[in-house]
Amino acid sequence: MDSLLESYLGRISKRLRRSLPATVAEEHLKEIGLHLSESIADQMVAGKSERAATIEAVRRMGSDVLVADGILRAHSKIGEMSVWRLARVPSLIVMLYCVVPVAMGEMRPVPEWLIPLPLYLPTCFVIFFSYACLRSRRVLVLPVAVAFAVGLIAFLIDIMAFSGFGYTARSHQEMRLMLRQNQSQIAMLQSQVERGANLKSAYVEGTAKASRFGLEAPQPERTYTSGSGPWLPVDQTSVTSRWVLQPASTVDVAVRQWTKHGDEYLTALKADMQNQLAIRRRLLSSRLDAATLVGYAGNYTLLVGVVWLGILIWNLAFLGFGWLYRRAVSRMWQRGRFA
Amino acid sequence: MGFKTDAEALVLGALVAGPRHGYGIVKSLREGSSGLFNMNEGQLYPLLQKMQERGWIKGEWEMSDSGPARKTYVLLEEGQKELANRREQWKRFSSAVGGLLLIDEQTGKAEVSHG
Repeated sequence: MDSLLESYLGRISKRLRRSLPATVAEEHLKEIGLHLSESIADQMVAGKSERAATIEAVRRMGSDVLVADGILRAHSKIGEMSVWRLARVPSLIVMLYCVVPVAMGEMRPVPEWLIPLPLYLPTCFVIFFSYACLRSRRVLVLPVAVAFAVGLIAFLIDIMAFSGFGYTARSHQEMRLMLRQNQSQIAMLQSQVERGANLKSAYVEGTAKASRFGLEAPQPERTYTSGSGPWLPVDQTSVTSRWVLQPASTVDVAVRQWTKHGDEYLTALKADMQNQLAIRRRLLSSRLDAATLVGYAGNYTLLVGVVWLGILIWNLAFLGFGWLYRRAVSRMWQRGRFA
Repeated sequence: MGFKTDAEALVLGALVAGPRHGYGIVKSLREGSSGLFNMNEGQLYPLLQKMQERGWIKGEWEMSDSGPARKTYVLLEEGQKELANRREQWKRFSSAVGGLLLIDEQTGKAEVSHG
């Protein structure tokens, strides 16, 4: 068999076998092969060489893509994938994404279980449609594969956002409030630690000064009464206030506390704060993730709608270019460009 | 030619004379029309498939002692009815087109004979 004829029939065979049962594809191929061989034989009888006759027979038959697609279309394998069919599923999805949430937003009260519904259904459509396209190995494999991936990711996000965390968009505001409260509690703990650290440094400084001037330093476990203390800060409310080197007239509660517990107190306070901080940070982090996710899900409808519109336009453009390409190839075959 | 060819009717017409295989149909159309209907052969097999599904024709593999088996197509009763229907349509169409396109020619002839 001439190599041109062999490769031509091979290409038709490949396309037919993808979508038709092997016996049916084989039957078509056999028939086309016989047709070509008779056509070649006739031309050879008329005086053409085998090569020239083969070229002419193949040219008359038309491009392998068109012949195979014609047969597939006759078997309703390609006909059902018309532009409209391809376009209407994404259009339906876009419509669902745009219309249903708006309609549901008008419903009061919205049952909790109904909220994720507009997200679940189109996502299922996307997955099934894409899967069907991939199974039938259509030309639009790339955009459909992208759509499939988008659909799958969207579906996972749906589940995580609405089922896994148990949050709804409605509780988003409450969560933000809780986060602010946590932050203020942490700030308070931090200020306590700072106050303790300042108190210690003031105590150390005061003790050193008292020792230098031969004054009595405050003693642990000793209660100072008014006027009996060794020295006292001028302003008890301020831990950063200056210390005066004179006997205190009143008991310094803060110093007494300090002298009782010393470093142990400050260490415990610091450890507690670090612990609290770690717990709250972890909590905040997970809740922030959930909040981001829920916030994202709020805008999700629009996002997926836009993505799908893009894919729809892509599909249509792809089909348009595909049609033009096939038409051009067909014309070139008819003019014998490939001969 | 500016008129759209009814390929289905032509194939049905080619099978009236008796069973034919794909190449035979194309050849008979080409030869019967003196090369005017040079059908794109790649279009024939999808067309035959469709016509089989509609029940107009039937394809059968015919064993041959001299060469490989060939698939021949036979016109069925439904196909004959469809062909009769298409013939009627064609008569009306050709008559209407003839009435419009050939009127000047007839008038011209009449003028010549009077002149």
